[in-house]
Amino acid sequence: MNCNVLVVDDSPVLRAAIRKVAKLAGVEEDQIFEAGNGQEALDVLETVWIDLVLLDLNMPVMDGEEFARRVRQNHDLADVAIVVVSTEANRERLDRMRELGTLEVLHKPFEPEDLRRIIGTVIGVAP
Amino acid sequence: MNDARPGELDPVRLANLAIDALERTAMVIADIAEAEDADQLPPLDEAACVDYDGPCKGRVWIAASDGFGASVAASLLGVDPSEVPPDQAAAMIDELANILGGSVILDLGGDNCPFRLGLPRRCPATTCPTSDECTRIVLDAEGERLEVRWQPLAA
Repeated sequence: MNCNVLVVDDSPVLRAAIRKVAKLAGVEEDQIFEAGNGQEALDVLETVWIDLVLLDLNMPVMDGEEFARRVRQNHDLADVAIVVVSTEANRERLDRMRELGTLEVLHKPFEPEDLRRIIGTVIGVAP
Repeated sequence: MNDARPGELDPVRLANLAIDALERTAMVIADIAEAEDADQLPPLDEAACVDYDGPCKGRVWIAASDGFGASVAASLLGVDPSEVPPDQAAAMIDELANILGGSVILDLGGDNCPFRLGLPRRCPATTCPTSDECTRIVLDAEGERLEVRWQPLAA
């Protein structure tokens, strides 16, 4: 499968867990990239084409909302699929993320199967 | 929404949020430890907290015994606890504070949640608030001690 996935989360253990779920969903190991905040994620996007971003919101340096805003302002990246995976519960902020075109919001704590289903749906593999 | 007074969490509700977070995140089973059972659990070693603000402010603390972070991370990643690096074990405590903080504000705020969650931060277990200052619950998480405290803060 030719699908690059970027996991953006400031928790290294959550990134490792999400990477594991992405592999279970059918994504190859070398097609999974990681970033610890929004700025690192933008740096990855400058060097690699990414099909799907799994995005935490509350992060240091640059949060997920600012990252999504910058991605949508970039014509070359405007079609990148973004799924929010976060503890964020604030209604106004979640509404803003939807306005930025995020496909889904998966609230932590989540069950791995829920994330696997979402990844499978986005990358076109039947869950 | 919880059944306690608006803007408040009772100990059982707080415990249930923590139990649910552990089970859904890492398939770790936890239960409320009554006083005499809690005395048998290992002592607290590390802690993290996260603040929220909005119509009111508060702080959620978690403090755990030495092996808790590695145990949860191991379960989450499907490895043996001995294979979990110390930094990932510590990061697990931070992330659980973050997750539980999110569960607390969602419970307090409901579907139109107005609260905003901050970033989790590590702190010495000795700095956790006393029972007089917070709602406190002790959990037995597969033999490890986990204490959860919810502390309303002045606006």
